[in-house]
Amino acid sequence: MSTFQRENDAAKSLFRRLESAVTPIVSGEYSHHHHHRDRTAMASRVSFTQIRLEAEMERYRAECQWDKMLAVIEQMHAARIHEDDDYGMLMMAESLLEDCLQENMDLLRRSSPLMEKTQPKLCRAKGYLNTILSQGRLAPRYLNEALLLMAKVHYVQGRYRDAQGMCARVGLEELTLDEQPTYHLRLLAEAFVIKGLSLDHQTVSAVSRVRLSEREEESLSCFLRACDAALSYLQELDKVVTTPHVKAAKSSPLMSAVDIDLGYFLQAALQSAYLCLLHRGHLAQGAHQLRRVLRVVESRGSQSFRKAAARKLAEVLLSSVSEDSYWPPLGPPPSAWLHREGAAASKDAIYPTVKPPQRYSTDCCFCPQDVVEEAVLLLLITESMASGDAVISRLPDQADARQASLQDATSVYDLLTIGMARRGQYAMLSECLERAMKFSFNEFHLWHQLGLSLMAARKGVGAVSVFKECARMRPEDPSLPLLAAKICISQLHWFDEAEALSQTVVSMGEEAGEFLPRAFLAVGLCCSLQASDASLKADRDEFNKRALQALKKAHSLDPQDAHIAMYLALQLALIRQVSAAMEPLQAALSLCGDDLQSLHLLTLLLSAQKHHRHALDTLNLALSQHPDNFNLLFTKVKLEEAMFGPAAALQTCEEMLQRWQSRYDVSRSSETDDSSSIPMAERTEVSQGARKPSIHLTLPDFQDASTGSLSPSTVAVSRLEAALSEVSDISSSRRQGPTYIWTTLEHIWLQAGELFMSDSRLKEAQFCIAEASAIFPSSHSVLLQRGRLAELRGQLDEAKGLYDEALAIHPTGERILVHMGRLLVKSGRVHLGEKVLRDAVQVHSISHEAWSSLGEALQSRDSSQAPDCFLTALELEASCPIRPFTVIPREL
Amino acid sequence: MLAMDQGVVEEWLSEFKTLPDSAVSTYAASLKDKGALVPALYKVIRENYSDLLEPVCHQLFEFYRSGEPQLQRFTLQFLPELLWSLLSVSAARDPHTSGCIEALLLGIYNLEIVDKDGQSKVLSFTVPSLSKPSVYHEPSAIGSMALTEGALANHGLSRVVYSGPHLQRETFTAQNRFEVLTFLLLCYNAALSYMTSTSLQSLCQLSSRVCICGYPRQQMRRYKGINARLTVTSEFLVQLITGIHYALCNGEVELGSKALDDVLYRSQLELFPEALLVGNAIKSSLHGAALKSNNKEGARSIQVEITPTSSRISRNAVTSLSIRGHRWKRHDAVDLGSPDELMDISEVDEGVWPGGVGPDMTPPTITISNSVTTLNLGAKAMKKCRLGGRTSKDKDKEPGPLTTGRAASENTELSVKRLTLTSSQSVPKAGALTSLTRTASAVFSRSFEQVASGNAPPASNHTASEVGRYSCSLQEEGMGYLSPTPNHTQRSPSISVHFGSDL
Repeated sequence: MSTFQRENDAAKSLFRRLESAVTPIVSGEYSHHHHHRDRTAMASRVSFTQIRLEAEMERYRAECQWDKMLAVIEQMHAARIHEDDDYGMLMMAESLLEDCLQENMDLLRRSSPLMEKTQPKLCRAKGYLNTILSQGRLAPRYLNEALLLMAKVHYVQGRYRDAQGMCARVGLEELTLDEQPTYHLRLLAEAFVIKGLSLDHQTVSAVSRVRLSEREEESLSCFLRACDAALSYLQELDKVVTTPHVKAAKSSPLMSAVDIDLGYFLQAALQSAYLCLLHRGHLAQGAHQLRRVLRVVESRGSQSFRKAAARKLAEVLLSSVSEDSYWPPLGPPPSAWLHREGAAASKDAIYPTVKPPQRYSTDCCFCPQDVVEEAVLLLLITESMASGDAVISRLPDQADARQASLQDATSVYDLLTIGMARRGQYAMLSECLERAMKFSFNEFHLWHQLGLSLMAARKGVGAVSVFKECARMRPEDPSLPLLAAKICISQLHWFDEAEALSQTVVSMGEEAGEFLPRAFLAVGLCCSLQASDASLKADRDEFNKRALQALKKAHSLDPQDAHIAMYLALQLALIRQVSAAMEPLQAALSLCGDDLQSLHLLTLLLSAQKHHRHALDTLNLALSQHPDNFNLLFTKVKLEEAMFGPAAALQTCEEMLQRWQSRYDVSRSSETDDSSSIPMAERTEVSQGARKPSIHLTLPDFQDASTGSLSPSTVAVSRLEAALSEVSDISSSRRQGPTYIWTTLEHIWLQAGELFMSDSRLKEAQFCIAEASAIFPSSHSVLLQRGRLAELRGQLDEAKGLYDEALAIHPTGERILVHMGRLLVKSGRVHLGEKVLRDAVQVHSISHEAWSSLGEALQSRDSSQAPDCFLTALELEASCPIRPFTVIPREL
Repeated sequence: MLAMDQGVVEEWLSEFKTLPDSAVSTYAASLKDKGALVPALYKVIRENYSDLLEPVCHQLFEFYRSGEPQLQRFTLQFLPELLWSLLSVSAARDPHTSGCIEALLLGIYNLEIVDKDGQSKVLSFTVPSLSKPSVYHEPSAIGSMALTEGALANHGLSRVVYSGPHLQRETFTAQNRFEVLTFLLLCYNAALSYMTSTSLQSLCQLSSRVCICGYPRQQMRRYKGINARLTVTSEFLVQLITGIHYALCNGEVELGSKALDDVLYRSQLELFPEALLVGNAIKSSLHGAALKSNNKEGARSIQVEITPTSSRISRNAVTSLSIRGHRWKRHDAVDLGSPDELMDISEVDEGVWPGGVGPDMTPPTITISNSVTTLNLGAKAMKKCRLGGRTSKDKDKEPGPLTTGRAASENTELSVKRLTLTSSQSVPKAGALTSLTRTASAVFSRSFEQVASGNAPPASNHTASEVGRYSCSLQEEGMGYLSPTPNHTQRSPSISVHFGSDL
């Protein structure tokens, strides 16, 4: 009594649980049992046990839990259920067969037939099925299932014709009726795929071409149906399994058990259609099928399949579909594609599916319009899964799993890189690759890619540390330290770091191969830049010496490199060996005649030799090849001022302003206002109000690095200025775009202001300086020019105050020190002025202006040292270029 | 050049001129039936000194200008060959022969940078985001993994410009050469699916030569053409690699992989991150797939086999997701406060670092990140740190206020585990000019006028002479055809200025 009671309770509770969600199964059971009962005349003896056990069996068959079926069979046997038919035998056969298939996944994948001799389970299953089919002691529904299992047996044994024949005997319509148990959808998918695969395997033996293409058509239609059925099955399974167990799942291991392992035939059912299309070269139809599949609402069982399919589609899109031939995801492939692939229409139009799976809604959601958009979307979806599945633990017994998951993820990141790089999205790419780091310990490829993406996204600090880590993994690769050195030099101004990195390549010697001269170049550039920054003469000389050595070595190792030759010439010029610099510069120009920096250097060298006319000709040649280069234009202004006076130079300044506008100001090009009719006084006010941000689009990550380093001044100074300007300038938020654009504009205004001052037109000069200070109010160059203007107007106290401010920001600024010193001397504070000028001479020992100003200071107090200073100044002036050689950027 | 080829080309030159407008599309479709024509045209382009080069370039431009897609693609197929011709000639300092090729390329460029209405064309695309539903996914199904990282949320469907607006160009200069050529390759790449295998081969050869000429690798490839080094830019190489990728996956395995290696070689020497990034990715993705099975039969298809969809990750393996799962379970456990549950969780946690903290074993290492910030902590210490202070139940919520226990502990974990890869450089925003400077410059220019009127500086006339230097026979056709659309106003392509200027 007690046992009955308990059993009954258990059955009741189970029934309650199943009732809501498993209605199809239960009702199916009922109808079946009515039928069964009539036949066997055991109506009064249908117990809850039987219902419960059969429901359980169906669930296990739906969830592919083959091992658990055995236990249920035992229980049925014990409860003497299905004693008089072959139900138990059928379950046994299925359980054994599927178990055997699971164990031989690899053989199946390679299509190698399974041998009865070596596969006892297969042998037993086949025996059972033979018995069932010969005895015929089952309802048609179960006989149908037995036929299907037999087809499976034939297939895995390599008897494709038999398998096909068996499939033909299966009543598929039996499996497609409404109110079917969930596992029938699985069987349906398997039936289709077995038929399709069997046909596919037989194509080789078919002789006639017409027959062959008919076969191909038929197998493809089987695959397409198999896929839809499999997807529907997985969706149904989700409904059945998840709903009743939400609460239970938390405390029991049921949840993880539900992550079903799809068997070979289910996987084949899901994949065969697109694989077959792609394999036959039908790219468009294959892609179309992949899209159809991916638009099916995700289910728990389909996740890993979706991952593979999404990656496959992304791969097809990125490798074989160009922008012009792209068609959007919701439409059929264009007829041109289909025509090329020899198909008249897309396949889904011809083969309506039996039970279409549910798809994502198409309204109010993102639908890609571009091949890269679609690929990136798919890859982001894949990435979210692949990075989650990545195995982190590093136990030896999980090495294989770890390797597999890593490869999985790597392939996604590679495709993501291909897609995003095409659109210049390096910043976003670097964020994605950063996410991969948590499972990429010691994986060189992903680290390397992360470093490169950070570098491309101009995230210098991160890139350097990643490259250093890469170099630790591959110490034999010379490119890694050099990549880091390049960032250190061009972007971060970490010269010590850059030199150390390049020295590691230098110390590799011959091993570094073609990178050796570049490593010497890097060392040379670092030393040269450090020399320019050094405040002590001894340090400076030492750095200059080492720079020259390294650059000479680089040049001798690779005389064909125009860059190295140019930088050697630049180094010689920096130490004022003007005529010696000409030789390597000629080599550089003969290798690359239109190189910007070489032509600029030649201009400066000619100006240092006081051949201004030749210098200007060279400059004009350089400008004909690089018309938008502001650095060249600034040199032109200086040359013209020296040759023709400030008025002529102002003409060039105006030209520069126009260039700046046409190049950087996008808003202007869309407007056609002629503002020159508005009076000047009003104009400032109007324009204050009319300032507006004009660009709403984000710029891509590619940057114009060549114009990035206009100013030779130290980074610390420019950072300080930027910070100060941010604080003080309320309109800074309106100023958009890279800083160098605005620095350029500031410099143009200041240059114009200087020219107006030397033309004694102080009002105009003031206007220009005001413009500059509107951009960067706390810039030391602005403060210097304001000071000079005040000085010219005789407001000496104000001038001194402004020079003081400028010095506070840039304590070693050559021209600030010189003007400050002169002002002090002029206003009678000779000793203090002398001190300032001595400082100037100390830091800028090749500045002839500093020396001559010091001479004047000394002369004013009748010092005997004055003539020496004048002599030095004269000597230096003889080799002084029109603008300092340091205006030529030194970058790797 | 054989007389037969010459005949074919001459016939082609004459027939299009007499073609009525209505017959253009049928003519375009019939072009591919002329088997001898395309090889003959390649010969003309390769022989720099051919008399036919000028008319051929002219005709190719006419094709492009016709707007008929098939005719445009006919012209585009020669683009790699034309680029190589231009680059090799300019490297050899022999400008007079490439004049008409320059004009043709500039002509295509100037047509392509404007849209139908003569406005500057801006190519943009939408950055997809997982936080917005799409035809392929539902944000709720993605799980918090990718979304709470915050990275994707920042990128909610923003539209990004990847090319343009570009300026009209009248001549090639050292400054604009690669800008123009890169854009032309972008146009070519957009039409890759329509390109013939000859054109793809030509692209691969172009890539190889541009990258290795003048370097020791040139001997290895046994290419005997010019031996001067050619300047390249990273963007240009990225475009080349995009084309090579297509060639590699669509039948040109041998030439394609050679070209890819050559481009990577050069990108390494030049330390170009962008080109290296894409090149490495392509190499790595092809490593397992296409290169393995190198049968020619698989042209324009992808080699496939039935592979398992899930790499059977053993259930007890710790994955990035399962680690988070563990954490969540633990939080629930704290909520329930049941000692049994806690016990369960601690077992799970032991699973994460199964090494334990036995005296004879090295302490378990959390090797999630890298050696720079490798963290050595016992499992217990770790557990303690994670369990501390967790009270709230919002396991599915985004880590909102940082003060909640989980967020805080997670925060500390993250900050330790992850490399801090913050950049010192702020991302630049689009530039804008204030109208202050605009109006101010007007003031400025007026003051300049005063200056200029008094003292005229010697004008540099280089621009004028420059225009003449690259002129070519396209001018002979007069100016009638030079406006792409009748209703263009002031933004018409300045190509007319160029071609007509020194008649």
